[in-house]
Amino acid sequence: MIWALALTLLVWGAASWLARFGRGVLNPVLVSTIVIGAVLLIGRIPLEDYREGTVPITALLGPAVVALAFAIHRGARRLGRLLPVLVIAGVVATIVGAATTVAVAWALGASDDLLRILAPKHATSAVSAAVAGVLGVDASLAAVFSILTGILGAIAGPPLLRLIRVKDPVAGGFAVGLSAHAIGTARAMEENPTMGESSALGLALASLLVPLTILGASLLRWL
Amino acid sequence: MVNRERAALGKVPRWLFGMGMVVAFAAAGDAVQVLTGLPIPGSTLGMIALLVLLLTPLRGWLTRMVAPAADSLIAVLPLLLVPLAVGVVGSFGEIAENALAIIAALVIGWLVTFLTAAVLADWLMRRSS
Repeated sequence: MIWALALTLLVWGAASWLARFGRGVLNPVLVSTIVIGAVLLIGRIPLEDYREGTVPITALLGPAVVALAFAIHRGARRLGRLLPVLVIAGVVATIVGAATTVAVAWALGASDDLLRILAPKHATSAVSAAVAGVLGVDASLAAVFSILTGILGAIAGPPLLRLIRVKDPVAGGFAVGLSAHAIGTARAMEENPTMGESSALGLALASLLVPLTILGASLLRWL
Repeated sequence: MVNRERAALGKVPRWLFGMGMVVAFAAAGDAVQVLTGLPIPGSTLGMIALLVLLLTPLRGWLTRMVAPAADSLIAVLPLLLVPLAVGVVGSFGEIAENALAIIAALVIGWLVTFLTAAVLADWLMRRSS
């Protein structure tokens, strides 16, 4: 099954190289997913085989979330006085955003399970998949929703900031990272380093706040 | 003391040790999650534990020994997501069935999260300065 590992790494390498020409639209996660998905479909390769082969990669997702502790700590020290402000904005945006997501899906007739899959979507896939696993719903679907959210945020985030005239790179980067996790952060780093840093803090904070929000909601029996 | 430590643990062994530490935190978090049944992922629990330790005097040691491996992991985070995303191949049916609800929830949910965070952070920052 080691071919799955080779396929993933090679396609990823090529997709990241290609991304240099795309200004955020040729997102490497999106491109890799489409190419590998196409290979599996055309080759009639069972998804199970691919999953088994890529265990060495997926096994590192949990440790990568743990590693974000360093990003939070470093960002917190650097932003110093601004930190309380960003935490307040992060908490409010996470709760309002998750509630809106669930409300919109519910109003359009999504099932209870689907609501649980959608709720954690603005956290990085590593977190949303784990939250879905803990809630007993489809983890890979939760991961996909996170990735789609990330791609949306990476493409629409920076132009939208200009539209609403948020010029501060700290506030803008933070919003991109909080709402569009690692994929948005990769884009923010291309814009400028200050944005990238506060985006990394937003991403890390979301991976902490989203599970806590879901915990709060489940304690109140809303989910 | 620091010099001797540096000599005993070169760059690559230190990186591997750091990787082992991060994986151990994730594993410990998973164990706590399973034992307590908390609806928080084990990896998040591990992250909280590490964050708490970073507020103690252990910070210097952790930064020296664990941060290099942790930074490598953060750098490749988008790659780690690819195998999960490929799983969508198996869920086309479910997505197509609920396409409208899913697309609306994703787009509106993202917009609201993003705008709330951007506008609130911008406004609070201007007010506090």
